[in-house]
Amino acid sequence: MSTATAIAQLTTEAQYREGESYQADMKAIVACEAACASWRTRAARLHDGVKSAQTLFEGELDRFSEVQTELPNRFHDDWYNRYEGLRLLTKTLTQLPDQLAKVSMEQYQQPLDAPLTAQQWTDLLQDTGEWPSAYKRREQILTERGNARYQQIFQAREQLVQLKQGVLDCIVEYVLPVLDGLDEGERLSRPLIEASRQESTAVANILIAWRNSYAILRTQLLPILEQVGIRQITIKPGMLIDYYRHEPCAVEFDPNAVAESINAEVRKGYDYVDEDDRVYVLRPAQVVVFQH
Amino acid sequence: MSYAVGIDLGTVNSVVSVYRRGVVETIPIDGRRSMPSVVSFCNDGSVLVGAPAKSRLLVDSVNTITSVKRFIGDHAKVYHVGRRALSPVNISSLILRRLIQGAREYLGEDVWNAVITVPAYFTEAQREQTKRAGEAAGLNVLRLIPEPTAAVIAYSLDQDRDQTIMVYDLGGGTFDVSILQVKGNDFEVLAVGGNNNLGGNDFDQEIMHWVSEQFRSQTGLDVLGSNSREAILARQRLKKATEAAKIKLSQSEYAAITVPDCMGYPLDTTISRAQYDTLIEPQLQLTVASMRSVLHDAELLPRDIVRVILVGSSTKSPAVQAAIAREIKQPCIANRVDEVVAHGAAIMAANLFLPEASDTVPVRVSNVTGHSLGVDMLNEHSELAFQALIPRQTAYPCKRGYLGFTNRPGQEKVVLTVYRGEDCNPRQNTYLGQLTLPVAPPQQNMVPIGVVFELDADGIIHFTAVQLPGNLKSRPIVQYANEHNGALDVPAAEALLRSGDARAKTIRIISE
Repeated sequence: MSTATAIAQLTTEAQYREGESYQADMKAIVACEAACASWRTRAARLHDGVKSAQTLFEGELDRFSEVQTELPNRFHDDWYNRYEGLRLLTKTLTQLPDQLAKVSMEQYQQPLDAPLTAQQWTDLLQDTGEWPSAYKRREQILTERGNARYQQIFQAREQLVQLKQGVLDCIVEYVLPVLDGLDEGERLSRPLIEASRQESTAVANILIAWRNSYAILRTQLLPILEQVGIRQITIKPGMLIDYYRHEPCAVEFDPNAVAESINAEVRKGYDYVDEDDRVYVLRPAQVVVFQH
Repeated sequence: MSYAVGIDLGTVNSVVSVYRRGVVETIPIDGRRSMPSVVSFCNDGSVLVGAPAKSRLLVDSVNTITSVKRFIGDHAKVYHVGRRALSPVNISSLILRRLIQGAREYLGEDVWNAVITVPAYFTEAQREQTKRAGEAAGLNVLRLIPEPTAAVIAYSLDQDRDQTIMVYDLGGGTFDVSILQVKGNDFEVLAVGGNNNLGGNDFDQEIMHWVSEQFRSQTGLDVLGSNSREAILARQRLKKATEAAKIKLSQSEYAAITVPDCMGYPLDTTISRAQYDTLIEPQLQLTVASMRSVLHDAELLPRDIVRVILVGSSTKSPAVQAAIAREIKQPCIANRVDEVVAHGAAIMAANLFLPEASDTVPVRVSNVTGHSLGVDMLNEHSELAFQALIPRQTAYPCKRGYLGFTNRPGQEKVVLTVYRGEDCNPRQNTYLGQLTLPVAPPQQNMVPIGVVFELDADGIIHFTAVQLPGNLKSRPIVQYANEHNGALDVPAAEALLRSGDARAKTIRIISE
């Protein structure tokens, strides 16, 4: 085989191989860009949703402060603790937009280098001499160009990971504790309502209205999370624990119960749907588990 | 296309990485970049590994195994799970199997080849068992490499100059410090030290105590001391809040710690970086003492260290970096300090798996023994004395031999006992194993017996005893030994073995 024929053959193969590899890389980077766009949209929805929720939280906080004058003195300490709790929840939620602003929303913009033309390949290989060295040179160029493209894919993926992690971290640090706090506040207000009922229906009604504030605020926050793809993990007492989605925080020994079944939910869990439609656990639900 | 992966098989968490197309990547397992090194055996016969296993620990601590790495190499350690008796090797192999399964799913390719990292202080028995765990997981273990070496590979593969590097590895529960000599792409561990009970978890605990004391003075409630369910839940929330604060203090001067309902009371406080630094100062001083100790062991001064590199998420703390800067010099920190060990292993794996690939850089790793290895032999007073064949701090892979003789006519066998240690009394050293070599006739007085220690690249000992012929063919070997303090001319002995003039028996040493 003449050198010219060998170079022509190497060129044809190189073009084909680079073309195939380029298409696969292009697909990867397009998928990455689409995922980034999806997470940017989620971040924007979260930002806007939380901004509007803040107003409602502040309104409920004002309503809470007005309640104090209507309550008998013996409830004032409890009122203060619940009020401070709600104030901290509002403060936590208020921090989210600033934290979200720190998450890099940049789009990866560097385009992939287009595959070399037949002429470019021929030019690159022609000076290398005989077939073995031309073959070696071609392999080297294919590897270098393929690696350079992969470097770009890697950077785009890193950007996606940072963006996604940034948004999820904001939710875990600034939204889920608020939802936990609302659950906890509601739970702690129950014995107060029971105690007040025996004393005065009027006081009990004030406290019931106060407790309802927690539910109102939760109803405001959960749809925001749903818009972002975050869902509450459903727990039913008696169901068997799924260690991928549930985290035991206490064990109760009961020989009559089914071993490793759930007795009660202590803290709600959340999962999210990723851009590939797979469901991942954002935070497992904390549960009390029966054991023999 | 098949890939070789790098595995950081950790005490608390494990990480698997791959080097492909010029880039090193961490492979997520169950959506996370590291996987808890935990295995749980369920009542229905299923086995959980990683995050779900860790989650099951509270429900079934008997059948959930954590920190298996602490027991690798311990032959007496047995985990009784149902009717089965499992060794640390069995448990480690399940962890490795899960990591490899995750790698196969992520890469969409079969993965059989791996480099696994081990602590630099691991004994040959611990290395041997780690390798066995890999093999039991169906892996071809390309190499075991020391964790600090892997970290250096990940940090400085592009560095051309020779340098002495300190690796400061502060994980969640352990602290390791090592000094390595890097010559081109040759890596050699010079000295290792550290503290098995010191880590970033201690920093969290310090903040927890500080906050709970404040809370107690305000409310009279003891979050850490009480065992009520309220207190347990409050502790969990406080732990999350303090961990978040610790991370925030790596970048900010202040961090808020907020738990809206802590045992029914609001907890809202702020910790400054100065306060945090004061809290963790005693722990930092312990790491400083370890740094001084390894410098002393390596017979180096702080100025001899060219670079200090950081491993482990706790090293993100500015106080940690400042302490190192005061003691040695300003350290270098990678983006993902938790993953650098696995990254280095992945680079090494790609090198060993595809040595001809144009996008890999040749890396050679040599290590040094932490203790002397040798056998007991009768001395001139006819007392058994420890004869070190591979002295402490010898670089390996290596092969060393020693020539001895039977001590009485008609001796039918030679029993050689292998020890690790520095004491001339063998019983003061660690017993590693025993080899019995039958002595073939003629069993005249002074049959020459050679012993050969080979320490392979994974740090595993292959011990061979050779009966040399009692004729002229052995004379050059005896003469060589006389001129070289008893050293065996290993190539000459091997030549006699090949020609059938000598006979040998070899064992792989596994310590008790």
